Amino acid sequence: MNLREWALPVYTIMIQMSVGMLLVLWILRSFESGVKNSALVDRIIRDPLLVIITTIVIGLVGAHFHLSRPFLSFLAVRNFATSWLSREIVFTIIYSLLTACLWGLQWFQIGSFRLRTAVGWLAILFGFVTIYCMGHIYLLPTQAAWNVPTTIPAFFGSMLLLGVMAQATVLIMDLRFTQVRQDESMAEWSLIITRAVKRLAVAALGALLVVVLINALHLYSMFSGPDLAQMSYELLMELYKPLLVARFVMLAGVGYLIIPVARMPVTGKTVGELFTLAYLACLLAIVAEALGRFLFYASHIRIGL
Amino acid sequence: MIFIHFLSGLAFGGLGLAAYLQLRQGSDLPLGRHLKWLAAFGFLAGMTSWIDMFLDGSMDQYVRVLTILRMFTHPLTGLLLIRFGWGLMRDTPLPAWTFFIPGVLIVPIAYIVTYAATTFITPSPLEIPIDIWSRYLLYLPGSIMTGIGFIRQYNLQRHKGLSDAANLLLGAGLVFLFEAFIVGLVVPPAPYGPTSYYNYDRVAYDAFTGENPAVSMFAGFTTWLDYAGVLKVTGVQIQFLRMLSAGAVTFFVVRSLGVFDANRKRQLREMQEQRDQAQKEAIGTQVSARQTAENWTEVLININRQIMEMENVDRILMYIAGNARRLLQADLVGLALLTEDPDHLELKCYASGSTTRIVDPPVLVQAPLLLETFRSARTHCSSGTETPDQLAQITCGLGQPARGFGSVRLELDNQPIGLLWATRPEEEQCSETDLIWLECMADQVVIAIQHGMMTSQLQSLSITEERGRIARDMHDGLAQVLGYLNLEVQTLGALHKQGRGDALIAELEKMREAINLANADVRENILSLRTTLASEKGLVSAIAEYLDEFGVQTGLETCFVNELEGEFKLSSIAEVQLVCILQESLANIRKHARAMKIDVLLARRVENGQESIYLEVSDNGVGLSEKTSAHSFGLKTMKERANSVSGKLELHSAPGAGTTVVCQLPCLDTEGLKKNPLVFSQKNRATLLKDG
Repeated sequence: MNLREWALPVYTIMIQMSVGMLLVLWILRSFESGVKNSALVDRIIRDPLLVIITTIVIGLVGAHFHLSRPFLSFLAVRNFATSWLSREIVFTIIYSLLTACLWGLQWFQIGSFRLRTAVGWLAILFGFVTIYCMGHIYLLPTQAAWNVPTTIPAFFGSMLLLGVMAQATVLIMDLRFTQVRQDESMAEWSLIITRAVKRLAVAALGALLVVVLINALHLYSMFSGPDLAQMSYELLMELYKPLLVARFVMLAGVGYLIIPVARMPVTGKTVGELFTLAYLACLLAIVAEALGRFLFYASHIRIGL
Repeated sequence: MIFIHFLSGLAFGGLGLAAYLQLRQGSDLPLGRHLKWLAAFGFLAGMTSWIDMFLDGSMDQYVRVLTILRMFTHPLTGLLLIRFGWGLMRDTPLPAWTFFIPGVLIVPIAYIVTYAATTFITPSPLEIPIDIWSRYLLYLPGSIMTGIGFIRQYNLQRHKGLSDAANLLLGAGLVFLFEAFIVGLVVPPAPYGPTSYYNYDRVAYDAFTGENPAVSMFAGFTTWLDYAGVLKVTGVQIQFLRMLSAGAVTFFVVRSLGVFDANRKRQLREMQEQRDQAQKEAIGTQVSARQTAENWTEVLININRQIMEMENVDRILMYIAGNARRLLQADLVGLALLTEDPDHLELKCYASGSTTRIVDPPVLVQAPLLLETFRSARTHCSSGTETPDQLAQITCGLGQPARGFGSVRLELDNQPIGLLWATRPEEEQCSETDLIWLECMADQVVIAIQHGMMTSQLQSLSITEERGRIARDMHDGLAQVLGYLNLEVQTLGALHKQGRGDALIAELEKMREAINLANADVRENILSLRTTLASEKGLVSAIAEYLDEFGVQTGLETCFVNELEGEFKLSSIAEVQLVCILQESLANIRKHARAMKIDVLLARRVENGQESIYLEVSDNGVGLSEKTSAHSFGLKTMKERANSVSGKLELHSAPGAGTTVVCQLPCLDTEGLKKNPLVFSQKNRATLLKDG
């Protein structure tokens, strides 16, 4: 892969991560937004929303490095009816705009709570559609290694794992930052984040299992697929075997690091003390997913010309 | 090249050794806590350099072993440097915004690591990506963090005033940043970016695509900036620059380790200064405590003196309140006494600001807090839980709003009689010592009141005694004369009937003499009473006036010599007794001595350190025999008067040689005597005797 091709994993992974983070954030918001907590929860989700927007921007910038003529990318909309790539572009734009709108509503406290809730879920819905289109692009009859049922679920698995891990890290980081500044009451905030991070750690373990399972199924699909799919499988098992092993080792490492976070009440450590573990787990998860995406692209063998 | 590697290894080894030796000495500086990582880094970096030396040499049989060994030592060196730099950076408080740095870097780091992982499957020998990514991912951030850590230490030490050591730390920081560039960025050649740019040689091959890197060169870097360009300009190999960097790192770091000695000296100096300061503070505290104790003692002595001198009780109470306020640094000191109703207190006296006053008529104290503390405890100190309204009431509207107070109940024979309290406008509460002193003052108030009551009783007794004396004098003098005159009138009647005119005239003469005698007695008594009651003028003036009046009334020559100068401390009772003794002496002289002249001497005398007032009354009359003086009722009374105030009285007389009465009454205060050492001089005594 040359530099231009590396821009593609940046886009796909960043967009998937942002949708996952938004989904996780909105679920947490639903859990925590009681009558008593709504103002504080509004304050808590303000900074993570900014991180989500930044992630989307990085993804979009990355996507344009992949294009030959970035400034003409809008022309892809013309093929919306026939092309999954065009649909991906359209839905990515809608998702990005909706998320930006949501951030604006949340940051400046515009509109009612219900309105913001609705915009958030709408953005998540379009995020899902975007990821679906993103995955569907690769269901090409000419690419035996990609044209398998696990391709789209693998993208959603990445979304789930990265979203959970990244959101947990962002929430802890924001808590520590605000604690150091000490310009706000932190007791209730800390309690909410502690509760949320514990739930996210458990969710991350679940997402990890889903990702490993999908990857195993993906390998099995190639192994039991047509000849070209088997050739891709052999490629993975020979030339790229070290990277494949490294990816699974990293996923195992994510689990190893996240278990103490999930067991936080038992170990007695505070959420701040577990930041390093959460951060390293998130880093490993991103690396593992980036490696996975590299292997995904590297394993393709085209049928015909 | 071998020599360059040798020197690099030597430099790093020296760095490790210096750090290790310093580590053994121990230190509580942040740098000291991480020296173990620096020592390990130095030893391992030196080892790596010497491995390079052997690899460059002609030891072909060991190349494989040395290469494998280097594949471990090189990344480990970078890891140790990261650990050292991270620890050094974190030990000084970081700004809040730095918490976001890991978050911002997580995505780039993740992609760089991913990219690095993919390079391990290229055809390059394994040691090449290990070397390259050890430099990019470990040595580069490690050097940057170490450089920043040293610069932060520089700031820290500079603020502590260790500028010499601080400058060396700054040098170490800058050298590590230089090291980050030449060790972390310049890497061996490899068939993938970004090593195709900053490496020893440009590689025109991409392992994945086979593209020409010149075509895919990122962001239009110019060729003169790459390592080949630098080499062309400087003519110096990268290994030589690294050796220089290693030497500079070792030089600055080893020299900056002197910060530990400087810090130890500074700590020693600070400890000495703290000890000196503590000694000064202790001495200051002692002096202050002593001064406070002296002030309180002086006030207590003065109060006792006033009580002994039977000064006016109100004046004593004002003195107590005023001084208690001053010494307790209180805003208000109030004194309330119990009324006939045991539930009510009346404000008797207070001191606030520069005002000290007796409250007349007394005002009823209505502050519930004071009444509550009066009922509940002997001593009480505000706890800080009182409301502002409660505290405002205890000032009775006389001072600033109180924010704390202390109170002591006055007790006489274990019965509560009043309350003494002090208020403060600041948050500071009364201390235990304050309460103890307030308790002392309360005791003095009780003593003053008790003495006042006793003095009042004594005055009643004195009046009764004086009435008895007047009655006795009237019985012995005027009543006898009147009885005698009654008999004489009967005699005159009889003589008149008998027609004995001469005898009648003679009896009339006797009656006239008797009347004169009675008149003299009455006038003397009046003079005595007046003189005793007029003691406010002062003892000396009273005596002088009395003698003048006595001389006029009796026609006797009186001579008064006063050798008292300055103040003298004689109690009020003693003064009264002294005047009475003088009057008794003069009355005796008039009645019995048939003298023509009376000398009176008043002086100060010191015996065994005890100051006393000396009174000598002498006449040139007929004198007394021993038998007469022993049975004299007047003399006995005078001795009793002198004894009642711890004094003594002596009588020196002989028939035909006049009589001398000597009386000595002790003073209260001997300190005053030291300042005014006026004693009864022999010269004055001689003059007096000569005049007599």
